[in-house]
Amino acid sequence: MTLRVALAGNPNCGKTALFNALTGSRQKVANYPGVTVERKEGSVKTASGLTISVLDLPGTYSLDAHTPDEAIARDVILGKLSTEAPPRILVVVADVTNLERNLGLLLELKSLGKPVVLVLNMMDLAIRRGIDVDVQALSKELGVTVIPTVAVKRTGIPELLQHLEKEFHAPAEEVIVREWKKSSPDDVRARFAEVDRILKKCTRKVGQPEIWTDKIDHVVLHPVYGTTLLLGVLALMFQAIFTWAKIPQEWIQEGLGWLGAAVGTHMPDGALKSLLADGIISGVGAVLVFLPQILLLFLFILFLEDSGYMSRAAFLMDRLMGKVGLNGRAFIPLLSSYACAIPGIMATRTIENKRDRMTTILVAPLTTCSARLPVYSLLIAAFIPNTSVLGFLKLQGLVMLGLYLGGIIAALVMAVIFKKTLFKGAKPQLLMELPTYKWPSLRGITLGLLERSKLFVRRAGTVILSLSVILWFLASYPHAPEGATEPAIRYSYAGKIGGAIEPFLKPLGFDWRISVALIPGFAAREVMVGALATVYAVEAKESETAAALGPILAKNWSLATALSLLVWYILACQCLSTLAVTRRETNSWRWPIFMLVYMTTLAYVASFVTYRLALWAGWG
Amino acid sequence: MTPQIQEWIAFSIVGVVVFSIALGFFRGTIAPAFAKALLKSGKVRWAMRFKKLSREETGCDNCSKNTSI
Repeated sequence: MTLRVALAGNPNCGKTALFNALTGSRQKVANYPGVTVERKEGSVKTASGLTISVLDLPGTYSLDAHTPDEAIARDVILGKLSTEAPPRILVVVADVTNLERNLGLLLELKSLGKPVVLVLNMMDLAIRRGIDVDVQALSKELGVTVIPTVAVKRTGIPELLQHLEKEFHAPAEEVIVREWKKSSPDDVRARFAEVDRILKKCTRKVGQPEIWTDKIDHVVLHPVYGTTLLLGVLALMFQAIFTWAKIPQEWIQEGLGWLGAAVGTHMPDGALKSLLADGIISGVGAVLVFLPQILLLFLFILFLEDSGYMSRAAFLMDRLMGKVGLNGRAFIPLLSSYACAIPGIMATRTIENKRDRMTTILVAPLTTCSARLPVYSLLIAAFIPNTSVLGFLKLQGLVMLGLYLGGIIAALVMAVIFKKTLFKGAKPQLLMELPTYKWPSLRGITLGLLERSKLFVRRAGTVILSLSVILWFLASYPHAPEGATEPAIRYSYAGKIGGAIEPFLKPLGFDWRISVALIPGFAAREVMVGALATVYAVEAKESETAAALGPILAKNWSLATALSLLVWYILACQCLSTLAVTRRETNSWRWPIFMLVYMTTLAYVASFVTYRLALWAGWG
Repeated sequence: MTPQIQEWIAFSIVGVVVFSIALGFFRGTIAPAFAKALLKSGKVRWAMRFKKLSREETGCDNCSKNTSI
């Protein structure tokens, strides 16, 4: 016994929160065939044994689709998607604090003749904002069942399930599904006039509405105070990454040191001991150490996003985006790229204008993704003194902030260039919704962080482990010949590969070891840290292998080399997955190849200039 | 454990890793491309065989954190 329902609604109405509340961990996330629009399906079993299959549709304002997301939602609702069975009941989710806009979609869906249930979500916010909704009257006026909920607190979920169960067991009525026709402007006006009429009858303002959001926004959206606050938040974030993460990082380092020592003590010398100590523990451990910093970064991102501040940050940045010819919609994918360029590039599908979309796709990988963090942290800790600036800021944190700003500036400059050359066109207008401020839910943030830890550790256990093993082999074989004068690694495959690439990278200050480490770093940026650890561990004498990588780099590299490598990492397209997703999103090999060429050229030139300037400044 | 045995085990580990990377590359890149090309040339049965061997993935481990506003 399975009932198939779909959740439809405007963006930001709490649809996904309702989906999570209904289905818990029984979710399957994939893409709709042929397009990169995310498809989320989950199931819930009721007390009577009925399985309800829930499909979370992309957010849409109407069936008149403007973006691929909205087209998918429309096609599923209308049963036009051949790969998707049409839902029996449509659950329309509406943000109760914004019913004027949310009910438009409900009326449009109801006009199709399909069974519809209205979920009034965020009822707690409505109470706080002094909005009183007469649920009974609203249900009567709309002619559909209305269920009030607070999805994040699971309030109203049992009632919704009970209603769906009742609908399933009710005697089947003949449903006449009407053909959908594109609405004329008059139809849209009439629909919203009807919404106005219904809301006047069924809602009223009571007591003193909560005006905290407006009060906070006076400061947060102010051109001067708001921008200062945004910079302050970013500065705090990067300071925290360096100071708060120190203690757990030391624990991980001590654990790895103990493991390395155990292998050294209990195993006789040989290839397996070298593989475990120099390859696996050095390579994987060097990356695992950065787990606390990555979790702190995501803690901040999740907190800012859940509180409602992130969209204000996007609004503030829209002014800046306008100056480079893009609008605020382009800022959202760029912001997503802080986590990873792949969801960022996928998020560009919400941009209607094709020229803007292409520009955003091409500059998204310049935004600093979390995979760059281990490399930045390693080099900053090794080369930048941990001194205080202005008494309360740490220089290391400021340099980290500078690297992140460097990525944004590079993305904006390239956007200007692309908009003036390849993708000329007028700047489209921005229409963006600012949600009310909310206290982030502890459960949501904890789940988000747990998910991040799981993914990072899984990556360390698969991609980084595999590449560390291969790199150990390349760095250890063939052995040095009898009477060799140079370190053994110079005679290995890795040494030979590094030697072959070195002439191209020498002008940037990179020696053969960095050249070797850059190769696996192309598969995944953070692997470079493990690769450097493996190369130096294999090269080092037995007594030096236990030492952390940072001091080894500080001893072997000049500051000029470190700065040049940091600039390379800001700008280079060192991610195969980004190229693969660009190919899929643009449906052509032309754009990923263009992305690779322009980013590599940019990185090469900028690193070269940085290295030369640093040498000129006496940091060589 | 003698150095020879250690070397034999270490090489086996490297072999397993290389094999799994090659398999992943085949399932993620080669097989889908073959399936598509065979389907275009009308060899549906072979296309379906390759389709079964292929693995559709984004290659992105950070996608779960899709910042949305």
